[in-house]
This record gives sequence, C-alpha cells and structure tokens, in this order.
Amino acid sequence: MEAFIQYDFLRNAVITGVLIGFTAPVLGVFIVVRRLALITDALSHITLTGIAFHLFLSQTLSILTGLSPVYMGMVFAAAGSLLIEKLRLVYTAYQELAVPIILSSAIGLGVIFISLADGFNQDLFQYLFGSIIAVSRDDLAAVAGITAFVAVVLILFYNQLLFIAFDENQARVSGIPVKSMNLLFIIMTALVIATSMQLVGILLVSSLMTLPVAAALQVAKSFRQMFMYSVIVGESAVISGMISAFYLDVSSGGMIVLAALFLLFSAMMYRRASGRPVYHPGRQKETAAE
Amino acid sequence: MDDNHISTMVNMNNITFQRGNQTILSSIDLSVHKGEFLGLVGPNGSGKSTLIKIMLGLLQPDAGTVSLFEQPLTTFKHWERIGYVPQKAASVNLGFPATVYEVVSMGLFSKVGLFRFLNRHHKKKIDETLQQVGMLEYKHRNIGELSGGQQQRVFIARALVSEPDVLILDEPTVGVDAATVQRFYQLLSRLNEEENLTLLLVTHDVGVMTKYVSHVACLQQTLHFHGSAGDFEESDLISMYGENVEILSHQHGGHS
Repeated sequence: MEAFIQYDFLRNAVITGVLIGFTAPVLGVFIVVRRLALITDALSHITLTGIAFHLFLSQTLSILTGLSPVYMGMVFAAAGSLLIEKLRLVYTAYQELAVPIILSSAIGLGVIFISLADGFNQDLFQYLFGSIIAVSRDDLAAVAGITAFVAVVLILFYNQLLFIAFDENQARVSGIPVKSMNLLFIIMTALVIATSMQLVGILLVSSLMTLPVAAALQVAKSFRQMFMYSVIVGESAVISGMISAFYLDVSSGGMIVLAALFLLFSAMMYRRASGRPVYHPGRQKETAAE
Repeated sequence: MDDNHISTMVNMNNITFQRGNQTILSSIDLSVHKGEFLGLVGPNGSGKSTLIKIMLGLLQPDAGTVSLFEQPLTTFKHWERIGYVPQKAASVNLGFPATVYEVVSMGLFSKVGLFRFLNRHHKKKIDETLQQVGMLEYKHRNIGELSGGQQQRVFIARALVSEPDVLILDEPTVGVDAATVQRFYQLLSRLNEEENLTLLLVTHDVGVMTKYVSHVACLQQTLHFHGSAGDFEESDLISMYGENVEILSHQHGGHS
C-alpha cells in the first residue's frame, strides 16, 4: 500500500479512481433506467477519435505535445453527444439508431487519424485499455472539475432528471424543460466518459457506467437505493481493481471490470438467496394484489 | 391564485390535425368548464389521445388554437394546475426501480423547483394523497410489483398531489378488470363532487362511464355530441360507432 502514497502518479490514479467511481455509476443510473446504456459506448469511441486526432495533430503542431490528449477527447465527446441528441429527435421511433451511426462514424474517423499518426503507439494502447500510470496532474485537475460539475448539477436538478427518466412526456406536461435537461445530461455524460477512460480504457469505460447499476438493480428497493448501491459497487470495483492491477502488473481497466463483474454476480446470487422474485414487466396478474 | 373566477379551464378552438394525407381531427371545438366531469368518448383510432396531446402541447395542431385557464397554450406556465394521467404503459417504464412514494413525489417537482427539497409539508401531502386513492399501505412498495389497477391509482395520486384544478385521464381503465373499473369511477366522481375537481376522462368504454360523468363529448374525427350526460342517448353512439355495438356492453372490461 505504501507505494500508493509514495508515488505521485499512483496517488493521482487513486484520487481519479475514487472520483470516477462516484460520477460514472451515478450518471449510469439515469442512463440505464432510460435504456440508453449503449450511448456510453458511442461516446467512448468518439473520445478515442478525439485522442487520435490530437496525436495526429501533435506531430505537426508542437504546441500540442505538452497538452494532454484528454482535452481533445472531451471536445469530441461533447460534440458527439450533441449529435446523438439531434439524431434521437430525427428518429423518435428508433432512438437507438443514433448509437450505431455515431459509433461507426467515430471508429471510421478514428482509424483514419490513427493511420495518419503513424499507426498504434504506446500512448494509444494505454487509452484503449486503461493504465494507472497514464494519469497526469493535468488529468486529475480535469476529473476533479468535472466531478464538481456533476455533483452541482445533480443537487440542483435531481428531481427533474428523475422525472424525465421515469416518464419524459409527463415531465414535459409538468413544465420541466425536458430538452435542455437532456442536453445538459448528455454533455455531462460525455465529459465523464472522456475523463474516465485513462483509468478504465475507452473499450471498457461503458462498463463503469452500466455494471454497478446492473448490480444495484438486483438489490435496490427504491431509486435512492439505486444510487447508494451503484456508488458502493463502483467505488469497490475501481479501488480493488486498481490495487490488484498494480501488484499483478496488468491493465487497470481489465481488473476494474472483473471486480465489477464479480460484484454483479454476487448481487445476483444475493437476490436469488433472499428469495426476492425476479420481476417481469407486463406479466403480472391484474388482480393479484387487489 | 387571483384568477379563481376563471370558469373555462380548457378551450380548444377549430383544431385540425393531419398525419400525412389522413385527417385525424377536423375543426374540433371543445371546452371544459369548472366543476365538470367530462367524458370524451370515441372508438379506437378516433383521435382522442391526439386531441389530449394537442391540448397539453405535446403535439402541434395543423390549425386551431388552445387556451388553458384562458391563457394561450404557448404562454401558459401554471402546469401544476393540470394533472395528467397518460395512457397506461404508453410512456412509462414499469420495470423502473422506484417506490410508490417516489413516483408520487414526482408530481410535486414542477412546484418544488430548483434548490428546494421535499419538506415535511410535502411528505404529509404525499401521504394524504395516497390515502385518498387508497394506496397508502403500498407506499414503500416498488411500482413494478403492483397490479395494473394499483399502478393506475398511484399515477392518479401523482397527478393529484400538486392539487391541480383539472385532472385529465387518458384511457385510465385499459387492462383493468371490471370490478376495479367500477371502484375507479367511484373514486373519480367522489373527487369531482367533494373536492370540486374538474375532470376530463378519455375512454372508448362508454357503458359504465355514462353513469358517472356530468357531460359527454363524442369524437370521431369531428365532434358528434357535446352536452350534458342526461341528454346523451345511445342513438348518438350508434350513429357514430355504426355496427360496432358491442362496445355498449356494460360488462365490458378486462383486457382490451
């Protein structure tokens, strides 16, 4: 454990981990209940496009070399989130179409930038799979700022976001500005994804938003508990994943996902053991409890 | 509110709505006055839900104007005065991990607003409203675990908790058994008489409804009848529904 206190880069990684162990699952709760889990994948891939773009540009523009590619990733993710929101309005009946459209454009563009930037290098590999030595002081500052932003937005708009997640039409009729709230939410999600990926990796970042929530769904009895359990699972997965990754000398993203999967499996077992029935929407008897 | 004298809660003027080349609604004039219990009936596909969505600003009409509480819809801000219970399961995700209490508390959100949290007064109001619809004992149950009729009562509580002046219900009894429907209408007519709540009920189920409402409007692309329930005759319906008379059955209920 001393290593984590002794070395700056490890300390940065741990603090970053604790922060995203909170923000990712908290936003994930809203994303999962709105059945938009795949959007996180689209956003993480567009972040990769931004990073590849930065690596490509920094070959010719020397001013960029000192800057973390994460910022370019954030810009791309935010722009991508706006595009997704726009596409969801174009295809109201097929909202999930926004995901493959953005995902394939992101990968297509990303691959072009990567080949222009002389193919895969060590930097890019770290962003794909996550690494605890990838977190710089700059990155930590970005994560801290975004965590503060997420916390403030949630404190101010928790009620509105909950209502929109539960029933968008009804929220609109109640006078909640649904369009601007959706926009705010998706930009927030894009920023959290962009900053989480150094630790977890682009290919795995969506798991940090969905696996803890999937575990919480098994045990939570209310929406409030959903947050509580999601954050507990998220934090446990990040911290245990990082520590084991360091000592086993393997990818932190992989270990974090394995830890989250283990907790998800435990939650399923717990539910089964506690005898709580698995709920099937639409299959309940109309008069069962009258 | 200083505008308590307002007696026209909803006024729709010359509403026309088209989907592609098909006319769904044609020159509809409809108004709902204070204290009325208006039943809006019509067969499936007659444009009832479309009309309600236009009324609430969820859809834009091709022609015509809507005013709520004598204010044009475009500038209307007092949404807490209108309670809306949407068609069951149309937009609601019933696997949602929320308790009955949490669902009802959502009804207060447009009133509570920014920076404010539910206080003791709000919590008491939620309890009272749940009591009113007979669901208080289910307060901490998950919404997905309840039966269809119970869920519907919870959604009514959510619409009532902000103490609206008008309650709009879109096909609230679809998929609910006959006995529950009966009790449900009794609850509505009690709210109408005791709390002086103005009600607009949309249904294709004419039989039971006519016993409870004060006014009836029949919709089939145009408005065929709009008057008090006493003047309403079954011949009005037959001219509208044509051959499809089984909807008159008073036994109608269950799954549809």
